[in-house]
Amino acid sequence: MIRHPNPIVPRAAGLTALVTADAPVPERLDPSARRRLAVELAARVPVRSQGPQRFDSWRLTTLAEDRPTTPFVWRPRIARRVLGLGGAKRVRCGDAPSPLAGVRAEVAAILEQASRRGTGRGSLATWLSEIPRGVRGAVLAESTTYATDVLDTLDWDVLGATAHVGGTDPVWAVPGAPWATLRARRDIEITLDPAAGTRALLCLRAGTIRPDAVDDLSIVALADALTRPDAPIPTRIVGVWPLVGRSMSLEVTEVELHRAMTMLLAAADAGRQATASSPVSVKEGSCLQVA
Amino acid sequence: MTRRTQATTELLRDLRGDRASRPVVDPMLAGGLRAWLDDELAGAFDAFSSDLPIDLPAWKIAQPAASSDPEHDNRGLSVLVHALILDHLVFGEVIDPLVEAMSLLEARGDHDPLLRQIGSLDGLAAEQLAAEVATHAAVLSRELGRIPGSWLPRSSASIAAQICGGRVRIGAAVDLMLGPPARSVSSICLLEVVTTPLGAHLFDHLAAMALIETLRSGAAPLRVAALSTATGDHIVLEVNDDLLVGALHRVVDVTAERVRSLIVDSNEASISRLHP
Repeated sequence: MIRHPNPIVPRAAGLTALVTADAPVPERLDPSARRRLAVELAARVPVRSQGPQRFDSWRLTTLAEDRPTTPFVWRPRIARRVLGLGGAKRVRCGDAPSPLAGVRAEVAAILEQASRRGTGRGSLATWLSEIPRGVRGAVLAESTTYATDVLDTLDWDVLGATAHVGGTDPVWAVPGAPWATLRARRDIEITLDPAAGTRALLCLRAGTIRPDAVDDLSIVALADALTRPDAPIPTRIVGVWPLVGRSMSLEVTEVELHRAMTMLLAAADAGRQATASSPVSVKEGSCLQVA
Repeated sequence: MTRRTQATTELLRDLRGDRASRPVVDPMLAGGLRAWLDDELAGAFDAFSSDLPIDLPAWKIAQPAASSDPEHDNRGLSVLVHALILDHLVFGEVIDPLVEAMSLLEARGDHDPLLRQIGSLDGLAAEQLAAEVATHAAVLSRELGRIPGSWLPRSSASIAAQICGGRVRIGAAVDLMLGPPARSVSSICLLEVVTTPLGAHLFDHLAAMALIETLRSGAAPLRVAALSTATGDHIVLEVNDDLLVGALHRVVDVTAERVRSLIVDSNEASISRLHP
């Protein structure tokens, strides 16, 4: 089910009310469904010799092959999310007075940590330490815009300590085929009921709302549910598109998880076909059940 | 060459104004404007069969007859100067304008032809370009000064609004956005930076930006402004109902005309397929 914020209250207040609305405590993902999904995926994903297989919203919704056409290079636009989230988190914690100050502190911390522990070639820290002044300005400015978008999204006075900015994105390595991973991006986690372990996840997205936005949010729900087997599935996944000032909440049920599992299996099949090795036959859809 | 900047400039004072006299946010305004737009344009799409959304940037709303953004006629210089806004925002100063702008564009990777063109300039032409960029950078520094972090400055912020059920997207790239999201009173200020002298079309451009931001955020911005780095002149407009309604009528007119021309193009294409 899709819900939208009240349009005639300030955006942050409307979205906060949407995120924190009462809802029944959702079920947990059935361990046997999780196991069946893992077995089917392990049989369907491209073989290990094809290299790491990263399944994310983009790959699942486009069924594109997971092969970058150009080598990865850091750019201000790529670095802005990690630095922006770090900066926003520092503002929320009271460690920085403004998003720009938060982002500056985040960059300084990454560089300081790298100088103590060393850093790999191609890492964010290495790139940050080598870029000229003009590029550093762009990195700081774009990350500050991201941090400001994060902080502008919700009414933090209402949420208090229940909202956590940043944190690790869910990454589920497929048991039996750990070179294949399901990944999702979410920016803020809001604890709804600490005793029950219920939560809402908020995802900032670039551009305008696409027709497959619900699929994207479903994939976030599945990735989160798979990586936290001891917690209930997320109550809702809220997508926010700052460019157009729109947002929507996907109230998560087994239907959404089923949809995401179907897309994941289809993407695995597409990947397998692209590498021209036939999939091992597993009964179609046998894993697609949630307790 | 280092340029230190002033604390608060006349432009920023005009933009932010007196905190105590900011207009109260009308929570029904954005919804009303959106419904008005949808009603006015409801019939425009009757004979239009394409599902492709129509993109209307703010410059096109301001100058429907123009084939390209007048600022883009100045494209190379404009790209370089706009890159410097980012640097200026963060550091409050620009040390070596052309070098900093070029390194930023190189890192972004989206203006390689321009960088190749600049790289191929001979010594004299390169010096002239560096001097020209430095002149514009000096105006930026003088007019923007050092912007307090508490004003939440952000640059190159894209804003857009989808209307008519997503069939039309009106949008703009805001060079500088100031202020937190509005709660009870208007607080957002938008600044457009141009490398050409200020023209009359900018009034409509700024009004369109104000309308887009109102639809996007749900609250009308406080003020919209334009700064010319060619002359140092600026204009600041208070955002009120008249400004927004004028922009709304312009969006309706431009959209309807665009749809009509697309229908004509589509019919002509059909005829030429039948009678090649």
